[in-house]
Amino acid sequence: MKLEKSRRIIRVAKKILPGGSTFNKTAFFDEGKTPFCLVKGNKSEVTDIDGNNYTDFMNGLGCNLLGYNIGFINRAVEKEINNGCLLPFASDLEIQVAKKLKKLIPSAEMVRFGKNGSDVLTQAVKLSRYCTNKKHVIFGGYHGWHDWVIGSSSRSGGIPEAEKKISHKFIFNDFNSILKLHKKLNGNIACIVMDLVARYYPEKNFLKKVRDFCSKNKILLVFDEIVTGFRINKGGAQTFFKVTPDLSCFGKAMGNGMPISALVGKKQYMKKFNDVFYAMNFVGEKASLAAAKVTLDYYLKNDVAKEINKKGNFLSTQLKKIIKKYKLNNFIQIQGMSSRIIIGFKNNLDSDFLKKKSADIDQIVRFMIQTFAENKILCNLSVFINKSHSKKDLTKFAKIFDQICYKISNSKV
Amino acid sequence: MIRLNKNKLFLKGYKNLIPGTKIFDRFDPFMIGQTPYFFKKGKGSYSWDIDNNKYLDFHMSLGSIILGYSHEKVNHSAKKQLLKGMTFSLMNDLEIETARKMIKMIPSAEMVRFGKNGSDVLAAGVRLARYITKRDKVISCGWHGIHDWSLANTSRNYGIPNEIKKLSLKFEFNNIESLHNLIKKNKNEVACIVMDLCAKYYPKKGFLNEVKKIAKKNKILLIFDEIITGFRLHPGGAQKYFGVTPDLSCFGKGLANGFPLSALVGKKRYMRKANDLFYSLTFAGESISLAAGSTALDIYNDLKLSKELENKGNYLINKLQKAIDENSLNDNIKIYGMPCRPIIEIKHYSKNLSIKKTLSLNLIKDFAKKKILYNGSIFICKTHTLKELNYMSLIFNEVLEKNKKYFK
Repeated sequence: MKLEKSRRIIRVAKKILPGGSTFNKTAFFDEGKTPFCLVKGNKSEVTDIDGNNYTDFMNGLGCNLLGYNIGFINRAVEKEINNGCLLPFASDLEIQVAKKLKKLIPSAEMVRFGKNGSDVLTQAVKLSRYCTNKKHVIFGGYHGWHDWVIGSSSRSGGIPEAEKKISHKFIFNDFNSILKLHKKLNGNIACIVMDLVARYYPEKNFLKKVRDFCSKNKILLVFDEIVTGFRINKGGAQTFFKVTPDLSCFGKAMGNGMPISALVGKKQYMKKFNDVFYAMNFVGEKASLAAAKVTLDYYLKNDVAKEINKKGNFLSTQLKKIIKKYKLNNFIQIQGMSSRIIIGFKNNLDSDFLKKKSADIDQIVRFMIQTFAENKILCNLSVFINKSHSKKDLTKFAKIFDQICYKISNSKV
Repeated sequence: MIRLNKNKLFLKGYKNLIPGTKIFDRFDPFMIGQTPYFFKKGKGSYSWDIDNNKYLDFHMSLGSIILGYSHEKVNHSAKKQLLKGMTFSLMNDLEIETARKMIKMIPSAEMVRFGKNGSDVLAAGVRLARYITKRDKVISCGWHGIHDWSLANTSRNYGIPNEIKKLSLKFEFNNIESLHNLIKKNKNEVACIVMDLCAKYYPKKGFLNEVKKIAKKNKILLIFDEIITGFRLHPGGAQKYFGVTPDLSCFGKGLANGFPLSALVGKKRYMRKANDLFYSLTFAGESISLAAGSTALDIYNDLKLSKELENKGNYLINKLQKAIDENSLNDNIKIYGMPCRPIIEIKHYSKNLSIKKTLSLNLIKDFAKKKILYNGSIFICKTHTLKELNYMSLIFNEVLEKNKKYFK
């Protein structure tokens, strides 16, 4: 595999872009053994700057749900570019997209748009603080890059102490962790922000308990559907699990690659945006709205979620079989959901298994990512299935995974 | 007269679905349905509303358009990129291409990080400054986006906790004493000073250098907000125009002439640290906007363009001032800001805010009737012709004559 240009680009990029890229997800892709820079995408295939083709299982971190270069979306975008993608004030495209979201999502009575998921999640927090007149935020997972989320992460540099004191993380599937925080904070909680499936499915009744708890204590329940939206079900995880939040946030797959996100929710809360200030330059940008319009239309008319879940199911069954075959059950674990499989590791990372191999987890991850890349598969262990993936793509993925597991179990890492 | 049937009809549906349009007080008329609110097309200096009325446009999407709407070359690059893909799983070389151009043009730019809106990169700049200085407070003057640190010290600070509000302090532009006092009062607590260089007023002679000196002495990072001034006032931004280089600066709006793109740029020794922090957006590397930005930057990298905008602005300001003189409204109407973005402010002797508001609305409405889109802030773009500027000043005169009586 030729990677000369990729290697050259890494050197240049690190000089002028902090970390070498706009994404924070270049880890293991900046060592010259995988592609670093992509220049083209078509359906489920991407091309790197050296001209190598890969089957892409990263899918723009989950935004390309239908695959790359989809004709009808391109045409809608091109039309708005020709008309001028940014115009004064508003356009009727906003109404059309809002109506489609309303049709798809149970909790959507009113809508505000953003560009990235972080935009709308942060607005949801602000709106909750205003509606409840309370200040603390508790959240379950990863919800973007803003202060209230990152304050409790390992990369919390630059976040004021004051913010760290008012945002707190609870443990997913551990309802007691929520009760404990509620007690500790004297009930001064504005909202609970959570995703519904990241690595794990919610345990039975967990969501219902959280919902009831929020209603009882006048806490707004905010669902982060940036990843689950349109993917686990066309109506999001809230439809799949039949729990209705007060506010919820969508992004990623909403415009199939065009930058758009949305905060939706109940009217009684959403209308408070007449006080709470939220206006950004590019939220009404029409090329992205047009992409969202036709993409959502497609989701309404075709059960894409069902299709990709079926594909994902097929793949995850294969992967589980392979793990079992090589007796790696105590080490490698298939997590996540069918439409977004996470190749994870059991919690005992310093386990006997690794000790025996005298390897650390980074070495294993690196080996996996690089082996996939050598075999022309783009995968960072968070496996996003898209509609364009063929059965052949999935079988090939499983085959390479088999080779990887074989090598891991035979100490060849 | 203009017909606004569709505008009125859509407005009803819009308000039921999309809350918060009211918050720009001065846009009220656009909501009342007496002026257009929904737009479908833009080309050069003109925009078309959904009722097919064509306006000579000075709104320019709040300044996001410098070259005129739907610019051929910029669109061409965007459409070419569209066929290759929108958002990729790894980086795209357009990030490098666009960053390189910014580094060449902007004095403070040694490294670049992209975002979508100005608010993104301003918030990222503040976080970086807090990280580097290990301090939490921020001093700013002017408008710097929607995030908590920025809204905290404005009247729009609903939903922001008190402990966060306390971290944001405000100083007065062109008043170096106000900055001195704040820094003295908050010794060793201030992470950065965030400011724009030319909103309503030009910086007084020596003011910017003095700010920079104070910042350096107190180990505070200096961040320039160039969202509006960037590429408009000068290819290298206001920092080049005024000859003062900040530690970090933020660009947006016009950067890709209407495509959603913003950037945090700065000195290497600070920007490198961004890699310790977490700033990552799914769509920050979206390649269509980067392609548009790259091409727009090629066009901006020409002193003739900013000179042209300045000349046109000066030409218009002279004409507008003459109309103000002729109507003896010098005490009531004042023109502020840079020639490329004149701001028209109405002063009314009556303390009755509603009269002042009515008057502002009347002007906007009367302009719309004459097919001019104006909301107090005039953005000059490359395609505005002298003929169009003459028409603007002619209508300005008419509108003033008509509304003169309300001032007395």
